[in-house]
Amino acid sequence: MQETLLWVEDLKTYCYTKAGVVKAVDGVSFSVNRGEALGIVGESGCGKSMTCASIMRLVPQPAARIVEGKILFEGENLLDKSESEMRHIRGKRISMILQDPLMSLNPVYTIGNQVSEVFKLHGGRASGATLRQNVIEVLTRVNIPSAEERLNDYPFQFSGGMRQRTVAAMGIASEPRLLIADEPTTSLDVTIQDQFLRLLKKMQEEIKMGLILVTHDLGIVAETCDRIVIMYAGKIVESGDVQNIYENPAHPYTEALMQALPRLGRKERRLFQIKGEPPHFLNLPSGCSFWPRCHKTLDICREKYPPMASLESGRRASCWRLEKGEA
Amino acid sequence: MKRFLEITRDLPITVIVLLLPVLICGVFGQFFTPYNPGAINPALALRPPSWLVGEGWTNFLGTDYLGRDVLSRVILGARTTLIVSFVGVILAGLVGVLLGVLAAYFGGWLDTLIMRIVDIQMSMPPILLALLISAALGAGLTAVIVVIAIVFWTQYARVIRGETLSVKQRDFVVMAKLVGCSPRRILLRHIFPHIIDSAVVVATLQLGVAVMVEAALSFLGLGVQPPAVAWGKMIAEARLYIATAWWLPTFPGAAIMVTVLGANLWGDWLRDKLDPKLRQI
Amino acid sequence: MLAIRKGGGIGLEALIKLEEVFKYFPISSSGLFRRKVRMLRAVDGISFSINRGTSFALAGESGSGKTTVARLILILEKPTNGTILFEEKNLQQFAQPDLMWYRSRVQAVFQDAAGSLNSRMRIRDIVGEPMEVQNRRLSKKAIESKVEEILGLVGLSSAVLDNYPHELSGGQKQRVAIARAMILNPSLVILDEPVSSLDISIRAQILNLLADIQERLGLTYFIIAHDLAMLGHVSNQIGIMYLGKIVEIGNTEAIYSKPLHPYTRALFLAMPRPEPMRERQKASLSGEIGSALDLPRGCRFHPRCDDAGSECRELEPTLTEISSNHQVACHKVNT
Repeated sequence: MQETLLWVEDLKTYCYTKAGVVKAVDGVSFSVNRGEALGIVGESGCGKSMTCASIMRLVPQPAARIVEGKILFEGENLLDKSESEMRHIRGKRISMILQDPLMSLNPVYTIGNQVSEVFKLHGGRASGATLRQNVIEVLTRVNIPSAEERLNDYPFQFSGGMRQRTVAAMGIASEPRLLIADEPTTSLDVTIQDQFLRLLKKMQEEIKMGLILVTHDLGIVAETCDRIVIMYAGKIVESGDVQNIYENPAHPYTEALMQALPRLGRKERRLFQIKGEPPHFLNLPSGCSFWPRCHKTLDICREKYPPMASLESGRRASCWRLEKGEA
Repeated sequence: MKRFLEITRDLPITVIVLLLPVLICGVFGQFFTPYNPGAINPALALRPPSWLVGEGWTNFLGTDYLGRDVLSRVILGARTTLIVSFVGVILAGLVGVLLGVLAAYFGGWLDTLIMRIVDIQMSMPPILLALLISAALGAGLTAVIVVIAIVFWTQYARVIRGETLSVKQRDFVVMAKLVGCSPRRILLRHIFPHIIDSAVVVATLQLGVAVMVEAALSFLGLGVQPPAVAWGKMIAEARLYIATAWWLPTFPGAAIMVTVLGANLWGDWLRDKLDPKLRQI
Repeated sequence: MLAIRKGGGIGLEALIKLEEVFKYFPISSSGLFRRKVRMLRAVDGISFSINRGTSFALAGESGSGKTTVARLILILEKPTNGTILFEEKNLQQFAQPDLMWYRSRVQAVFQDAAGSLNSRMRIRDIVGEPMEVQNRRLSKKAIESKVEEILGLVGLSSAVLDNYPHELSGGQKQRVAIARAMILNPSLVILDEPVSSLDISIRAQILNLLADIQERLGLTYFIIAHDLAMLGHVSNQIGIMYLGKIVEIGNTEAIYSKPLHPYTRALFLAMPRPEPMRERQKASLSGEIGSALDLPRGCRFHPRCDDAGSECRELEPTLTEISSNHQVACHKVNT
């Protein structure tokens, strides 16, 4: 039984700069169910991080603002909440972990101190020995070896992987309903990344947590997520089950990405390449933002942005070819 | 140069309002003083500001104990202040930046030597230094400039050394080495343009302090000598008249405050403007 | 695979050879009364050679030493021990003019394109600088025309000549960096993670560009990266490094079809693949990557190895040839 944890509808977050309005998130809709892992995939500047910031209501005002849309978390619209209500939600019911663990941890406080802070903020009464026990427990859960002895270590004494796991521990300490992980493994080595992703999956299963994993790495998404949403220039271009999308991408961008990936076992001399570059927000192409790079453009693509078409088994993609029934 | 012009376009109005008059007085002052600033006229001594006693425009800010017009002296004093602080700060900058860059770029014993000198000098009280230098060079404009240069260069050296160390690591500097650039070329073309911003910020922030140092030295009698006019000197001379002729220390004091405030605001604004992290998309 | 010139033949002579190269960094931690000096064994005895016209890759995670190897080849560091020969000349015996010559023969492209371009210089000056520095007598016009030629080679129009780096996109910046590396027509180009900081949709473009240039100019590439999928496409020969030593080395195809060293196998296992239906075995590797400051006795990989035996804990394995052009340093494999 699927219980909808997060429902985002037509979210629009715009940034107001001297040079013009940047529509960082331009009408994005998706949902995350309990216990499900959703991948948000896109390149730099596609709006994925701003989407997460919008969910957490951490959009840097006044330069940027959530202009429109609904963010329903367990039925309640987060956009209607006051700042103090959001503070109760952040870190307790929705947690977020970021890319660089060195930046996420305060270098002048011990690991034990920082993790216990999360408990103190959200865990209520625990103190003293119980608090310490809780901290040790959550650190052990994220596979920090000899957690008890390491409570008095400082972040610089931990390796990159251990720091990221500590950050994850802080994220799950209050057993949140939803964890948002924004490029959590980009700064980790591949064997450490593998450990970390497995850990996230394990946590997810144990607490039945919803997980939003933001990344540009299609491989990570394939191995960790159930459903995926692909963003380009502030909009979602395709969404659906991971398996469907990987085997049979509907949107030309997804298709091109899959083909352009270097893969083990492929022996071609030249890789399939996508022409052009990701667009600049202040200079978006008319019509569909992808048309200058698309190998399947129609005339209408240059004029109007395609509507989101519903395909089989919950899949959606916005492309004129699909609209017109051609694949 | 182009960059400098496009940056100054955004100068906040407060800075302009505060500093432009000082600049104009400093450069062109001698052409528009209402009276001869040096003219001694005992008959007119210690007249209060004319607008207070309803006498129209004569002696707008009053006269001092020798009958000299305060307004004219304040206007002319700007020149001393500007010369001393600008020249002093620039001189300090040249020395400090050079030594800071060399220390950071070449490291080793040169770095240790320069930094120890900085440490030693910074542990000496500036007033003491000032007195020693003045004693050696005699009082006067040159002495004050030298004092400022010597007291201030260390701050540059420290800041610029730090900046250079971080710029040195950056990939484009490594690349310059890899194509065979000589150290001189690397320093001039690659390192310098990236630390100049910090140097400029330090300079503008020091301007304010330099003004105050000059005032303090003048107050102590070590500053410029007559017939040159200096605000600090005016305040010093007014010591005996604070209760009776309040306008004598007040207006030069206000002039100092305006200049220092303007310089500080300018420095703050410049620092924010040049900080690459705050740059526009 | 790239870079095998048909017909003309790859030069079978080694362009560059490393022989038993070591690089240790002394790290001193000063206690209150005594100073402890420990050795960071960044590169702990490696040997390999790269033939003309081929692409050799060094793969490994952080702490593997691959970056230090690149720095040694670029003469940004001096080896603690061992020899590096370029065209049979010993790098350590270079005098100043030899060094200048070397700088024109060996170039580099770094990971962070933005950081490797001087933000205060225009593109024309950035790309032209190597020529200006190497030959003072060249006229501005000569340099400019060569710059335009090279920009064409990397797919940039002359319109960017007057731009500053921040006015260009990430992909364009990397192309400029490549242009600068190519303008002196070097023999060897070091590529340090050439595409990992680029958007995924343009990585293929840059990789293809590098392949094309290699063919056109007959270049030799030395690539350092951690992405095995990418390296599989771009290299002929590959070496896997762990904590300062090469644990497996040989022909890329051979190693990829049959990785033998437990670490190599773990790397392949850990690699995320865009194949949702793939069977996920148990975790590739437990434990942390060790530190080159504190190497264990015996095989440096044994603390993380599932198959470690008593021999592994005592004796360091050496690279042994398993088949032609495939060597592994592992006791379990070599028996």
